[in-house]
Amino acid sequence: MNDLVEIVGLTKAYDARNIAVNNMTLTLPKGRIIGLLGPNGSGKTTLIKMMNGLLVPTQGSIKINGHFPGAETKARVAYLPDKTYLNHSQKVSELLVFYQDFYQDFEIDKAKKMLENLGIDPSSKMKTLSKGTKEKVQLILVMSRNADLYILDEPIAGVDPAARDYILKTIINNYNPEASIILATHLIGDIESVLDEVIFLRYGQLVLYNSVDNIREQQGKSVDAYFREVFAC
Amino acid sequence: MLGKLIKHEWKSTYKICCVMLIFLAVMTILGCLSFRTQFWSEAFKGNDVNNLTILDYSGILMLVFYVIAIIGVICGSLIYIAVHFYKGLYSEEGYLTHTLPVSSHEILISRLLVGSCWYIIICIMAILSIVILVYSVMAIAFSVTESGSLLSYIIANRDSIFASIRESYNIESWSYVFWSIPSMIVSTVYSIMTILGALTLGQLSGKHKVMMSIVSYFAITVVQSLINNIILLPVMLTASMNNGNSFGWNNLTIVLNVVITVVLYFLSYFIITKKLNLE
Amino acid sequence: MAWELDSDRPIYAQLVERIQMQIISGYYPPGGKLPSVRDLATEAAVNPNTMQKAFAELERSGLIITQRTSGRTVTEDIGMIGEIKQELAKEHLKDFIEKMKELGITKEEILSLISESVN
Repeated sequence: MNDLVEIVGLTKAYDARNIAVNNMTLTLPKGRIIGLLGPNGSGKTTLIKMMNGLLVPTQGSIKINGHFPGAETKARVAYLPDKTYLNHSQKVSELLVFYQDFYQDFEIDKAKKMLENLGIDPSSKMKTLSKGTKEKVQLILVMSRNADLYILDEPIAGVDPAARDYILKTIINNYNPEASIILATHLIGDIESVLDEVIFLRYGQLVLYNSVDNIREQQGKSVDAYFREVFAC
Repeated sequence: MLGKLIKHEWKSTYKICCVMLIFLAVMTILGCLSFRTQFWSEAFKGNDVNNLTILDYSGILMLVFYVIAIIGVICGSLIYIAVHFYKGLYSEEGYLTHTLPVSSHEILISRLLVGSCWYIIICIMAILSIVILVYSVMAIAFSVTESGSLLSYIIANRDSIFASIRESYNIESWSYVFWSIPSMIVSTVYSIMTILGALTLGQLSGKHKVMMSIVSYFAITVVQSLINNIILLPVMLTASMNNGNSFGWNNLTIVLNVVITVVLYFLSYFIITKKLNLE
Repeated sequence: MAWELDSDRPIYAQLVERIQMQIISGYYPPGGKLPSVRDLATEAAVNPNTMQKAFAELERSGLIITQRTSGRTVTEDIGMIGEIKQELAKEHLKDFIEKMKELGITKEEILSLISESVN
């Protein structure tokens, strides 16, 4: 079974006028790095929350590896939210132990190596780190897991360009044909060459799901440029 | 997984709770010391005290601080537990908590257990502190007016002391003591579940989650009070007709609290699994 | 350092060109070993699947040979490499001559300009 994520008729309606995700049907295979692109309010965050079991659909279903979101899928999904979600009073080393405790697929040595590479002292408390460094720590924790699905929400937005390169190289290096990565971002140009495929969302609906090279060939322009065309204000 | 959650909850709360206990211990010592002034030893002898020194005034002030400290520690621990729950469940940390590979039951139970544990420890220590203080005061009063030590007096007269305690508190038999332990446990768990339930109910509101939580907390407390009084009305009537003997029916409050705790628990479980929407 | 790629052309085609250049120029000598897909993708900062596609294309053309146990190597067929080199050179020349024509430079002027700059 090569389908990692199966979305069928997925809808999230808060009320009659506020429909965040509207009847979405989509299947994502394993072994891909997929960009989730769309303007603010297009339903990206809602979709991500539903994949992580943080939100319950109004209609339709979403399945990861054949299971509905729950404790089982959470063990196989590595999620990086676009906010500082870790306990500030803890040290980085304590967070490593925490992750190791709860996630069987966590590779602590890998995480330690990456912290070293980025010059982050594991004995420092989260609250003493700069915002960019906090984001790096969170990313390292997530990427050190050996999950089936990685969902990264704006992983490079708050990070300096050098670290961005390091992060993208880590993502490429981590590539596993049995797993997929979903990257939600606004910085399309920076990551385009790292993506296999892209998803365009607008008003909670699927506008496009195609490979980067196909779009370049068919449109004669980069995905970034094409996005600007499609979503021109 | 539940064990791990409990361990982690414990690790993240034990420091502050131990600080509270140490604070309680310090205040107890200071409270006891505050009775060792000239003012008190004269007062116990029945003499009028005219010239109060600075030491006397600070002793009396210390007593006031002690009372504030006891109330503060108990209320403070509840507030700390509420804030800790909120941070872990419904602030940004909630993104971590609710994506852990654990069930919502495990999330709730771990917090309920650790919160109740700490609260009961703090309450017992507060009671112990008061007992120590009262004993210390009585010992001073005793030493000033009688000979020998208070302790030997108590041991020598223990039977008559117990008898008069039993009489004035209407303790019929050992069943009273027997019931007070589960009663304490129930009311502790009830208190913590009320906090947890109120915070979770608050999540149902779109924009005013914290406000809604506070309102829910008071609503739950008021509802419990109302139902409690309604249930207890016939009980009190029977008691007043039977020489103050309520035949153990005031255990109904325990039952009420258990029911409310269970209802809040499942309500919270439902909200977390089906209605959660973190910011 | 990530490879510099045009943003408006398919990536895999550009990867094919780039690796071809590296083979022709001798950076990867005939019979020489090529890095793994993952390593090269990391170096180029591109998606491994895209790099895989480029390798597949180069294999199809015979420029790269995949051996079961020892990974990918450049072909030892120097003739083929030479041919491709000639073809690419001709293409560049074609572009060059067209540009010169656009500038209105005659055939004789082109030849003298070339011998000047080559010396």
